[in-house]
Amino acid sequence: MDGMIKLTFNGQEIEVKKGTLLIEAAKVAGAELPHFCYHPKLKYDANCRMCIVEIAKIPKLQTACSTVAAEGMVVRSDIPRVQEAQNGVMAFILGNHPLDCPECDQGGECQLQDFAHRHSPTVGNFGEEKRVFEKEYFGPLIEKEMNRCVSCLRCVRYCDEVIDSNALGSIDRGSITEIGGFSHHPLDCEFCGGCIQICPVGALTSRASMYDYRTWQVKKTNTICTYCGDGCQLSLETIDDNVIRVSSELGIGRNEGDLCARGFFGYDFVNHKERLIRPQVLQKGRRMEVTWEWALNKAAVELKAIKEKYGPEAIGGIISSHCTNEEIYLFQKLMREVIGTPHVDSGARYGYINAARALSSVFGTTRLARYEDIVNADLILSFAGDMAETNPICAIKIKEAVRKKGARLIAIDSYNSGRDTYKSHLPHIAHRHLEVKMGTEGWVILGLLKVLDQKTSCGPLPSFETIERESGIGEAALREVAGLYAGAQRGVLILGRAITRNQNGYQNVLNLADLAIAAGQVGKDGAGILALAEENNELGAVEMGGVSEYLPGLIPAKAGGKTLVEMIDAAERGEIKALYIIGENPVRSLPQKKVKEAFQNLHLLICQELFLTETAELSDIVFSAVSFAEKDGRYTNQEGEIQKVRKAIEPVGGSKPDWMIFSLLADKLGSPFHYKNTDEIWKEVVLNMPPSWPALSKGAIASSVTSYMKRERKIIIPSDDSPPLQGGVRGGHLFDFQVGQSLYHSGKLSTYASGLNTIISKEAVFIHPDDAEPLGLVEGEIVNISLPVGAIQAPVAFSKRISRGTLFFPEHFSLEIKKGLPLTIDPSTHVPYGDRGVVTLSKISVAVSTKNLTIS
Amino acid sequence: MKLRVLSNQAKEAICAEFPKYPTKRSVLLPALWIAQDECGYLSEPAMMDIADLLDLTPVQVYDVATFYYMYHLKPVGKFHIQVCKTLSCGLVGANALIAYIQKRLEIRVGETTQDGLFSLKLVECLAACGSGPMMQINEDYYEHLTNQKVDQILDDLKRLGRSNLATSRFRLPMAI
Repeated sequence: MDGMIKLTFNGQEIEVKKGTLLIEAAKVAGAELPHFCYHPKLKYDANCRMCIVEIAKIPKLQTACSTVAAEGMVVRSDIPRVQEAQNGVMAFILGNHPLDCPECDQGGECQLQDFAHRHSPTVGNFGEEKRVFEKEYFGPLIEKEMNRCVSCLRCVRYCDEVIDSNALGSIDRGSITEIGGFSHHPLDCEFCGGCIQICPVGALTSRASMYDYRTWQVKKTNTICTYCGDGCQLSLETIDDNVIRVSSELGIGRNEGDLCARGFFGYDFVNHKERLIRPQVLQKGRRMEVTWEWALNKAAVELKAIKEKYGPEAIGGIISSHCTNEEIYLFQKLMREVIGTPHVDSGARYGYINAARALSSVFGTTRLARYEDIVNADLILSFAGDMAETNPICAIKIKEAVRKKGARLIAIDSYNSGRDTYKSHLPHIAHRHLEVKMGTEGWVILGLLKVLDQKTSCGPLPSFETIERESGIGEAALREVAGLYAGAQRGVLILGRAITRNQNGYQNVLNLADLAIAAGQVGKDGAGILALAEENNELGAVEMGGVSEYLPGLIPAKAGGKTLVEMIDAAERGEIKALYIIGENPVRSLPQKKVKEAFQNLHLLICQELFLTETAELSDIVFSAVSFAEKDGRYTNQEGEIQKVRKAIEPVGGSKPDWMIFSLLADKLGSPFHYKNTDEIWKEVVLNMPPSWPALSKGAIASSVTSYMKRERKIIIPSDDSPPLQGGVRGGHLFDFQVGQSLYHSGKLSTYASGLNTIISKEAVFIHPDDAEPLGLVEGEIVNISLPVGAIQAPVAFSKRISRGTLFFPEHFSLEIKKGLPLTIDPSTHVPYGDRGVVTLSKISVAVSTKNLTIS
Repeated sequence: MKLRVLSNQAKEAICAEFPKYPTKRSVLLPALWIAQDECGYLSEPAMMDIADLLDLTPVQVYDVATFYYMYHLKPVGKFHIQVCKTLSCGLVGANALIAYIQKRLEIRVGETTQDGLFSLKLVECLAACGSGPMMQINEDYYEHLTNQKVDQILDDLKRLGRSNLATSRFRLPMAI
């Protein structure tokens, strides 16, 4: 066969792909060579010397991890010469190892244990004392026990090659080599946990689960992460219904075993002591726990009464896009068929709906690019400068494409290309970075379109001069980037929340679709468009009919269904009398709206939650729901991959999965569902989907594009919707202001995860050090930020990633800040945009110094 | 780019090395040398400056700086004594000599005298195997050492700032 070679391994003739390393070829022959430093994700280093083999005609033994198999090679690992040499290497490694297996968290899954068992000489010839390192806590989440280290440097290489964080080094030399950070400072990195997972021994272990388990005691359940839309597979490791830790297996899942801080350290909200364990009702102003029977009856009776008195349209429902496909499907069925209301919406309304609707209206599907396409692309055009924070695993795919495969990355965003120490940043590794003024990505898209779409089938486009005035990007740069994109063999376009969650979002995605069509980067192998999802099942929510405009299968719903913001407005006007909210928290997410006041007008507010959130606190009835760890189902990630969620532990306390609560409620409402489990719901879902679902053929996409091109299209020129600053801000310095996501937090749940709170538990406003210096600001100093409405005080933190002239505020703590930012609603999709504004920053005369939040 | 401790001159010297090497990272050894020359030792801010100049993280600089004994991570004395501890010198009494120097200066290996004059470090072979035990002080070699010679060398250096007992310059062992 072409590209294959034959060699003899331990007397057995095997055939492997050209370029295969001997250590991998050995597996084909059924032999596992002992090794520590070799790891399939990393470039070989050949430093541990354990995998030595004999190759005929080469006098010395060779390391199999660094030798490429060649035609006719005769290799042996099963002869005394090799085994004696391996035993000798092992004796040297064990010479310094403390053999403290009984108290080591790695015990039972340790490569040193396994290989020592096979290769130990059983007698030690060393009379010398072993080296002794003091135990160090390596930052808030990682324990470092250097006595156990075999100096394989996998952690250092993973941190560099895969994560691009470069937070670890090998310090000192010889037998006193240790893994360390800069001059024994605590680690301040991305905390992806990769070094813990890739360590073959117990040198780096997690403090979050230290001494909580022996590996053979845990039950492992493979499931899907509940945070962002990347859709990573992870294993929940549990003992007696407690989640002890998270792990992932090399090469498994869409993430291929890589995780981020949220995935690896963000699990313990599941067993948080504030979890709701029984339904609650508000009775005469007092909140009390009741039985399920009581709560369900009360909900059913009151819903029926409202339906009878005001009609079904007085009832609305909002579901979180963290719920499973089955649950979202069942919820919309409950609302639309049992109750009879068209008002159904979900968290996808906060931005993803822009991408889902625009892409499916052009291409008939959102499934246009997969992670493999990113890894193998020769050009990636990214409108997601913050991707390493919002969608860290998808960002790893880009890093792989750029750093290992030589792809060119063009990043267009309002970030600086500088990076913070020990934190990766995509604009920093971009081949070309166009740093635009905040909120002007739309102009750049028009500029690129203007270069490529000569026929201007979209109507007149603004002049290059206008585009440059608005965005700061001139014609030459636009021509260069557009040329690169159109000239690529496999160009992948990525769009993130900068596009979907900001002004003109829907139109901007449409324009990007036009751009990809004009550049010829859709409908061909390896090219495509990927819209990043902030929550794990946003695409699922749209496909399952969890939005007002679509029934399951993206079938248009009858007009009249109210969106999330419209429901809140209707509640304020008294048109909607009852809201059923699952896992969403609009009181917190939409501080600009008077949600609390609007909800006070409701006759009935039902909330289904894990915690008593701000919205749940206002509710008449709260159903205690379960987390992803306690239920079965399916999530659809941003690529469109439908993946199984598996129950790892029994529901905490008396909580129930959302789908079960919907079934029980349907019973009480007199229209029982009769589902025994989520698989039965899924069967019904699949039957209800169009035949072409989930994947659309290339031909179908092409014909969808053809019919789209025939439609009359009109480009809406972006407008600057920020209202002018109001009075009282004299003496300050003007900045663009962005509220956005931080790597260590995601929405509501992560703030209940103690591991993540250890990394960052405080808010801060981030500023570029070069902007801070002329203002005489020091890190941690409290500053005054005057918003279009009102003002806040917050400590400043420095970050080189922040674009000059802008401020960044992570969204997961006090959202009071958003109250002062303007809120606009997308005219097409009713997405509420309220993350950006123009503010002034001024010093407070008395400087208050607090702990530094970042090391610059 | 604003530097923390390195002078613009040092920065220029480092940048002048770039064309000689394939990547910025490979300029690390000369850059550390230039910084040490200017500051006397490699302080944390100096290593952070180098990291910025070479587009590395500080730990990547620290990694290399800790590997080589000729880079000082702590301030060293005006006279930096480096005694060879390798086999040939060891066979002719290096250990006893090291013990003597420690006693005489009242410091241990790796330390600096309180007056900041002398610091003591052990190094690998300096290629003067035929004339051990030996040491290098700053850039001068001192060979065929005895306790009496050490006494005189240290006295000379303290009083005069130089000693006639120096046998040759750095890297050039005495002709036999």
